[in-house]
Amino acid sequence: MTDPTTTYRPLAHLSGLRLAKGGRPVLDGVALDVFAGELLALIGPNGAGKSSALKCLGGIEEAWSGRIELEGRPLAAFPTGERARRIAYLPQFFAPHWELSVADLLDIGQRRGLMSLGSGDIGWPALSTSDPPARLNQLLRDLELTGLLDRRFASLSGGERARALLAQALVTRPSLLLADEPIASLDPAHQLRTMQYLRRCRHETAALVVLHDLNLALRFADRIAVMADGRMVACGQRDDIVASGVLTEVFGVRFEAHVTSWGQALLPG
Amino acid sequence: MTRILGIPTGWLAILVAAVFTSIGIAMMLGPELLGPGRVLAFLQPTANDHPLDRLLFDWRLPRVLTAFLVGGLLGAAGAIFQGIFRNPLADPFLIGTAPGAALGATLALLVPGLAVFQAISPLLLLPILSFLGAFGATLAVLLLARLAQVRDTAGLLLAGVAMAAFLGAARSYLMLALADETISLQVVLSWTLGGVQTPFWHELALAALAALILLLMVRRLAYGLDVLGLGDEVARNMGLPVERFVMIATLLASAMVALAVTWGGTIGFVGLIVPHLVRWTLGPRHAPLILASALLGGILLTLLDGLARSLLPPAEIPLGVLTALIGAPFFMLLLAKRRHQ
Repeated sequence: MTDPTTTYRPLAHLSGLRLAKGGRPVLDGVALDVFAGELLALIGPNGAGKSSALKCLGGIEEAWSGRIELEGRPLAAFPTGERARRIAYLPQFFAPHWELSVADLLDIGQRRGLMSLGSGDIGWPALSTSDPPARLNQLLRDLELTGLLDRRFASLSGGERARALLAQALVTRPSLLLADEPIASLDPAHQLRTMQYLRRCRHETAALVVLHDLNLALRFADRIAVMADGRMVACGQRDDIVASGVLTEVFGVRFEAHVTSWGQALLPG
Repeated sequence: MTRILGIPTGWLAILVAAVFTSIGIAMMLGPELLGPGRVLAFLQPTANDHPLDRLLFDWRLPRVLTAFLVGGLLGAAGAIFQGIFRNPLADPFLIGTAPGAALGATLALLVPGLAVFQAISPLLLLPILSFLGAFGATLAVLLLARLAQVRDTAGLLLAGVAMAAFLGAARSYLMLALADETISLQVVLSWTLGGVQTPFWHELALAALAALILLLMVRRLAYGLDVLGLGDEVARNMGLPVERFVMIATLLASAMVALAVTWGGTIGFVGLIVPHLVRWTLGPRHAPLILASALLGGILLTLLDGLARSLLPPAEIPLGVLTALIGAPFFMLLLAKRRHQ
């Protein structure tokens, strides 16, 4: 595994990032670099501020202070639409308020960043379910959605939903994907497939992924960032993270290392 | 499947045909029923006019077209409010928008000082006060919900229901306190129960122009409303400035309701039922939803207004009574269906 920190300049750069909610500091000086082409896992105990960091970067939280840069430019310098097209966010919980089909979701996703007030693009339909454009077709095949376009999102299984959401976020080929526990509600087979897919497309869309499963983080991430109490505690190659003992410190449990076919796995206890 | 203006061609053809059919039927309805031949004859320009033609042209046709206009505005506004509130049970009358407009209009009709202004500029005062009432009430509901940290849309609706009850009571009080021998309470009351006015042609032209402009403007909200339906977080990430968008959408939809209330009084349930029917057939995307709701709302109200004029001659049934008789059971049905899910 190459070290992306030596080969690329950061795609996204956070430093001194602070955020308070209801008078309570949630983020307390977070620093993090995300590099193009990498899958960076963000781990840490509940309430560490992982989701909040993602939301600041994704343009969802706006009351932060500190520094967020995208390709060397301050995030605030980007027009909203451009920021939206470059950074896609996948929420932890997602339930559309209307009975949208998979095709609807993709169609809405395709116009990511294209609407601004008063000039919303209402052209129709961008997405034809019978004959989608070639690039979209590839995405649909990769995520096994081709036969599901006309299905209602609510009627899909958990795995199908995860794939549909991923397709919606990736359909415009953003340069960075922020995913908040994208595999939390999936069975092991779907967890593996989702992580494999994120890993496969990371050269086009780098991914910053909040994970609770340490072993999936160890197995699929290029680097691992560890947060606790609103701070970035450690960030680096997985072997360094494992060797540093920071995981025991942060999670408050000891981990037993086991060697598996893909590398070192950790079991708590 | 080809689409025109977002609506599948077949459905659009059916809707447009229904628009003309409903207007034709409504032209036949009234205290005096007319045959289709008479209406068709009226439409043909001939040298020797039938004595009835003058009456149809001055009274019945503008009334029918106004009913269509009011219904269209309520249907489209209903679709937008449901999109803003992200709840299919939101209706301009349940969430305080229309009661706000009604309060503003009552002030315009009853307050003596304003009545002077009303005499100078009758075309403006009523719509302006209606709009201020509609926008203020809706904004108050949204702010109230935000202050109370109401996250679920059911809570938002409850805030609207409370607002609607308060505004209705305030209007009733004002009607009792301000009415005197110079102002006929009957006029205000019949307007409160809902009933389409018969404007002069130039008034109708102005109202239709305003409605058309509003409809063109709100169609630009369609994609934003789609995105809003994915939740605030995803909407923000996709580049929608949520607060500002909701404000502008509320403003435009309130203007539609104010225009509808100005010419139709308070007619409930149209804005609730119509978007539902459209969603069942065309799906939830807002571009087709808003336009089709406008057409279907117009069709529905044109027919209902025709019935209101002809069921109990020579009296007219207040239109709000008819829509409530149909709409309230529909509302209960929806509630039962939701609970069932």
